Amino acid sequence: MNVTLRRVALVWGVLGSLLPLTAPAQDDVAMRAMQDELARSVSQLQLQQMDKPYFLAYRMDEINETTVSASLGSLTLSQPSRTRLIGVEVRVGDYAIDNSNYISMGSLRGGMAGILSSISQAPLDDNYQQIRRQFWLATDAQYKKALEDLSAKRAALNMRKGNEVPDFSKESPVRDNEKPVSGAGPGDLEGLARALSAVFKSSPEIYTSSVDVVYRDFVTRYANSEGSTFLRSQPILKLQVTAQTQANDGLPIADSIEVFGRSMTDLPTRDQLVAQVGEMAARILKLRSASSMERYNGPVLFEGAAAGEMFSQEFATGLMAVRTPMSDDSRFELFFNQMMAQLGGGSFVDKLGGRVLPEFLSVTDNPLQAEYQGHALMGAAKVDDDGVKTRNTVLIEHGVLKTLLTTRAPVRAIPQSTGSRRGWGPAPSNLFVTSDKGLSPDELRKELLRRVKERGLDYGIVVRRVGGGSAASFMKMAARMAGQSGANTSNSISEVYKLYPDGREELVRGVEIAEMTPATFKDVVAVGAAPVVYSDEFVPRIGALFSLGVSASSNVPVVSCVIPAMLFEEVSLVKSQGPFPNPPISPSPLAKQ
Amino acid sequence: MNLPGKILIISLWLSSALGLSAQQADPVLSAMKGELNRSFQNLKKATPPPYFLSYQLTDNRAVVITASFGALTGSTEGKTRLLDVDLRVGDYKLDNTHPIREGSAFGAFGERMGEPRMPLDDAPDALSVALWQVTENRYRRAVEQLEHVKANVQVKVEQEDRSGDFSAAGVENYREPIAPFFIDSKIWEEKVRKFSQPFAEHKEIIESSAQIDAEIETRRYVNSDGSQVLMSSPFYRLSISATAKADDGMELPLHQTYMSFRLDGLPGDAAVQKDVDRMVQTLLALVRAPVAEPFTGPAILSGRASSVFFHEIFGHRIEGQRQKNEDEAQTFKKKVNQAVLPDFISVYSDPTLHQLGETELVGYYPYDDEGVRARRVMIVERGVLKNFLMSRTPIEGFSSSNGHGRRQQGYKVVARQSNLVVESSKHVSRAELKRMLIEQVKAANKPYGLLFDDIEGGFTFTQRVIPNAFNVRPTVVYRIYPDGREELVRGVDLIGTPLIAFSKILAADDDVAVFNGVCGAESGWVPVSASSPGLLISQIEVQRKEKSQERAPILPPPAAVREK
Repeated sequence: MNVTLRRVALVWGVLGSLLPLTAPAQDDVAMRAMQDELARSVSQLQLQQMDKPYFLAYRMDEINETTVSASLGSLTLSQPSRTRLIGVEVRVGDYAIDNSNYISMGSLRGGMAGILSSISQAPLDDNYQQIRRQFWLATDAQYKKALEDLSAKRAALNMRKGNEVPDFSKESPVRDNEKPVSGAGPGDLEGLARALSAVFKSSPEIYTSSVDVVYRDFVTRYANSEGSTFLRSQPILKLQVTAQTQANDGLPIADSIEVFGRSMTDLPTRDQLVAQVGEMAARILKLRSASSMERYNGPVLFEGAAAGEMFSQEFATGLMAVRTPMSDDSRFELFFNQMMAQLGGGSFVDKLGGRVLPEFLSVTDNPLQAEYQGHALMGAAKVDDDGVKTRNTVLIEHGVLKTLLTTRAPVRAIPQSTGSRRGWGPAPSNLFVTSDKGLSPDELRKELLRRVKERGLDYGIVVRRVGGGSAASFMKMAARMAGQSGANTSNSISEVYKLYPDGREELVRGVEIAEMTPATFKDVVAVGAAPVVYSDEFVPRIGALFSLGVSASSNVPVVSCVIPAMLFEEVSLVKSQGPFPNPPISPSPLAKQ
Repeated sequence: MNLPGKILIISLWLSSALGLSAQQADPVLSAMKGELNRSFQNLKKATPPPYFLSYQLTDNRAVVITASFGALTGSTEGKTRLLDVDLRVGDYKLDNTHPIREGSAFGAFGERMGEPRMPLDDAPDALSVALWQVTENRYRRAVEQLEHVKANVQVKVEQEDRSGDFSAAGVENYREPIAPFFIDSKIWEEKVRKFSQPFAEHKEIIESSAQIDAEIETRRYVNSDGSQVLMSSPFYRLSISATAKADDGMELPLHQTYMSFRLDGLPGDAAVQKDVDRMVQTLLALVRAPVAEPFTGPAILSGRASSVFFHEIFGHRIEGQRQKNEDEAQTFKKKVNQAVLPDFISVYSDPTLHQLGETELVGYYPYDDEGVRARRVMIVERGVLKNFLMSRTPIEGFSSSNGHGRRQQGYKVVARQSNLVVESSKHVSRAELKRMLIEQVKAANKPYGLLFDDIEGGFTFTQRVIPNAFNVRPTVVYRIYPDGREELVRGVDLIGTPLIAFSKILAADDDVAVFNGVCGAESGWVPVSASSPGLLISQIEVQRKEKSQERAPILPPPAAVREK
């Protein structure tokens, strides 16, 4: 704990010293147009005798994006784009009861429909007049919708008792109008993609492979009627290498590498990456002829990225408090909570004050730290998407859940925002999993083997990479929505080894994690001493889409986890079940050469 | 303006460079041929073997630049390469593509999921691997589909149309040089800003856009019969749109589109700006125009309106596969060699037509998307139905393709329109046609007739489950009173049913107009044209247009104050 805190202070200091380099944004035409139109709306917007808005927020997301893909040394996609999206958030009523957190089943008003209608395109030119015009039209439409929503909501409220949680929390205004230093730019993405994808040319047994690089510079301008304004730049560079093949019996084999950074300089060097891709290709070839196993129940060690993958996919999704929207149909609210529980596990909101991890583990959300041991932390930000100052939040202390991450849509137990609105709803920023008794890698393996022996097993299991990332979470969510369960929703693991008592490792293929729930994490019996950084796009909780009911940013947050290796006492692994497609009839055209 | 000079130099240079390379092997076409032959031979050994395989690889490079009210809203340049594969198991009589009757409409949905993207570079290795992957994938699916088809044929009633699933076609070898493509984005960003600016000066105008679409599409096709076709053509489209809102909430759109196969075939700035000014004036007049009432009576359809009228209500009903599909109403199926139009009207479809008079026709192509040579098809000769538009899917009595198998990349080919030409053997002047209209008005004892001067498009239904109505959406409509007075009105759509509408055509004028557009149907969006003289119709029907219920914005538009 102490180590982490000191490090925070250190990095924060570095950020602070960067600030004088930034330029003031008084000459920003877009910001001036936003603020002028906001001022006019605040003072003049009112329809006849109806409520005036009590809160207005204007946002402009400027997205400069370059997407590049390559396969076998040849580009398959190279697409630069520049977009400006504007969002207007209009609240009528008051902080206690307003038009948000409401969804009408009758008119499908509010919720997701509301979000989509509240985002529109803005001119790419810094054309003062046209930017104002777009905000004017968006504000008008959102205000009219807000009035209708509020009256429908009031009518629904008259039919029931109790709505003691306010709809919107009061927060101190933030001013952060420093023009952000523009990112380092995308760099030679095409060259990188070609070079990395060419590695697979020498492995015709790998059927498909692709290198995908996305650079996205996300500049947000924000102003609200409480006086908050900010200008924020969040460049993201994502590199993904994927490869798939089949074993001779048809079993699909896939692996991937994902790296996030703010710019090319955050990535390993090209030579290092080429070497990593080469290792992955070699591992896939080895997997084609590796043995499998029927079933395993026993201790499993998640090393390296694997711990971060499991933690962010299966546990971190519960660390947000998402409000249940009220509806004109009370059956919806009942159904909503069931649905949320189905889609990726419910929130921990009912577990506040209870133990959710073993006593030696704590979890902190810290957006103030921008890097960890030279690795970029992707959740770093000074202000969140509600214009609330971000802060360090202790979520779990010695295994006990202290609080959850929230936006300005409060929930019963947590009245204030934690500064955690990222895009559509609350999301973690940088999660630090810390322990007071970390073991060295050797000690961890010894501990695994000790338990293996105790259980009378022939070997233990080490998972080094789960694979799939946010895409896998999304597929799982889709499978749950389609009512599938069991094997279909389990985690297929891309890199898993049997560890024998003599220390020998044997690669295993076609294995899936049978069942992993947030409760499984209570069975962590030991962790490593050297945490690693794992980053991935955060699949937003569906609940946030409904409960927000007002405008949103289109940002998809990337969450970084700083997390040590984890030894679980009991995890079930099963063999992947078919049916698998037949292997190809023709060999690869590369094979004949 | 040294732009035209620049284009000339570049195109000269490019065409000479490519003229050379056209003699040499095209590495992409060679890779396609190589992999097609290799995969086809290998798959032949499997059971069931494929009997036909084709690849169509479509390269598209597109620059799209859009502005609204004088400000740039989009400027993109994209490059795509998409593969379409036709792999057939079974035989010409019955194969895996046979329509499943009363099956799910989502048969082909997600067909491409998980398939690799095609390399954009002309890299034979990467391309061969991608082609191989897709071919293997499609073969597995085709085998499954064939089993499904065989079962479906057994359990359903015998089909009315007993023609086969595929027809033989000649072996073709056609190669165009890769066409030059040049557009200076900076210059066009400035142009579309300028073209969309005048709309900003009127508060009645709520939407505006000026957009240039510059595209070059290169299609390479190879099949297991040995055909190979390489076509490459640029395409430039400038569209100007604006919408005004009347006090009652009615939205009034106007569109102006210019298309050409050459960038310098688009009109100059002065001509465009003149059209923009005219659009502004028409919009302002429309806002103040009276709302037309539902009405039946005589009307004149201008050449442009008649073109869309024919495209929708006639053209879509002579597309071959609609005569076979038993969900379709098959209006004309049993009418071959019967009169379907007045005897002074003839209609043909001609994809080989590059222009009509001075106007370029965007439905031009030398070969269709099944590698079949394009040709003129006489559909109606002096009122009598002679033929249908055919792809390689045969129908009863029409066993082979006539070069109308078309698709947007990514869709399955069906028979589509190309350049639809409506000709009249007798025609009068526009003034005479108006006089004839007034005669009709008086004879029918109507207060006025209608003149449909401009339209934005239309749609029709051709299936049995819904009435076969059409809707042509006019933008500029006049009432013509018996005294000859013309009055602009707003708020009506032209509606009707096909057979009645055709029987009411009385006369044609000599003012032939061309409507160039893109048509959307089962096989995606394809460029088409239709041309027709103005027509006098003894009875049409109009209905009220849908109308926005949105109240006008509460605050006035922001004033242009505080701009530095």
